[in-house]
Amino acid sequence: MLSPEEHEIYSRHLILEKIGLSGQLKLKNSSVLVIGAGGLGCPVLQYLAAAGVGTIGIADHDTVEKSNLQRQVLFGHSSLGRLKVDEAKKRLEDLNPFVNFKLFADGITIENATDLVSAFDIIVDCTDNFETRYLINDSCFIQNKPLVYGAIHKFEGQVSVFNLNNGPTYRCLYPDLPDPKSVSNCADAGVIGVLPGVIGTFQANEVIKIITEIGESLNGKILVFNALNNQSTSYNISKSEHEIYNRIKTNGFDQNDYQFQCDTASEIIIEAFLESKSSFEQIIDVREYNEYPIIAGLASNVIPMGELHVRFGEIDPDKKTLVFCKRGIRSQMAIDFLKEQYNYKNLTNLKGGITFYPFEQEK
Amino acid sequence: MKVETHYYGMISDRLERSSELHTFETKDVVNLRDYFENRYPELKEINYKIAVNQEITDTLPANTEINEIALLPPFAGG
Repeated sequence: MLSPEEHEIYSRHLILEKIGLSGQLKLKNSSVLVIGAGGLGCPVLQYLAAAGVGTIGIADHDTVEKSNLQRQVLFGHSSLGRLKVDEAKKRLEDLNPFVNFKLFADGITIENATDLVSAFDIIVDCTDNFETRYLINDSCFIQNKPLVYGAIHKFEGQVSVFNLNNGPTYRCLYPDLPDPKSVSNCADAGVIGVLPGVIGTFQANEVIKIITEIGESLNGKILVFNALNNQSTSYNISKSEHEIYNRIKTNGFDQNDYQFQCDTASEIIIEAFLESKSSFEQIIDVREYNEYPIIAGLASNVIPMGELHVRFGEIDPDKKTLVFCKRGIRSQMAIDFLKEQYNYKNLTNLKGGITFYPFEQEK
Repeated sequence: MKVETHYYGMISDRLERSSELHTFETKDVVNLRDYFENRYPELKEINYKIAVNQEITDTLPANTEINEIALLPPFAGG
């Protein structure tokens, strides 16, 4: 049953022959878990709440940062520093008070994945890293839940529906987590702000079609959209078997399957570094001796790239270390070298290099 | 036959182009992964799928009209 007020809110759905009262009741009786309340999550949450999905779960462990506002349209300046799940709920409750929101401020982890996924009818992947995407995919397969997937890169986006009516899963397309080397730009490649809006809206549309059982979903297909030339193409995916599913069914999740594929903590931009400077125990400058600027405020050991193979011993492997150069490229090479040759683990690259050091603020 | 080939995501970043034409002999079956990785060795480091006429496959069939090839890496961002 819908109340008179709900009739008014959903009137544009109710007059659609393909949705009508029965479709609207299906939406009201459904539950959808949106994992990630970022660029993709914001439009997904807005449209699902507006459409009257009865129960919406929001899983995200992050707080709102200024750099989110360019594309995460649920948040404003008053949200900065606050939990995304709380800020999203505040806005969405105002949008539709008839939705029941469930918040998961820990995000999804191998510990809570099973409980989280089992509590909802449809899962929407709006995350920003491969580890979580594989964890979500595997949880959905094990519990036989449809998964609406979206992902973006710069000006391009992918959308698909996995595991619906025994259809293919994400592993049928990409069987294994990528090699860390092949996703070196996964920390933050940059993205045009409207792109997650487009792709997230596609995802919300897939969710609504699945719930109301109308149209054709992207089950068995992946749609790729390019915002620069407006091309969108669907590619067919066929189903294949994956040994890992049997292993998870028998032994549960193994942390090793979802780790260190995209080492997002291994680089930092200058602003973030200056805020967390005291947490670094040593700072290594891999520029040549005659390179400027000299940074008086940074107590750093100068080990030019050419000397690294003989002087690496000066770098304590147990200390949390920042490595920098002028633009962040040599320092990344130094980190790759130290990791591969000498198994260093605590190294963070200064992304963009020291060029952007704010000298005028230096005291 | 000349076939329009689309590069997506980090493949297009690495190769610094989003599409180009490749010429194949219509009568030959071609292993496309070998073909592209010989031409662009940097692809060996990248995880990707190949689609021919919108179907995922590594093989270019012989004597078939091919409209499009695409190299599809996974995207992480959200």
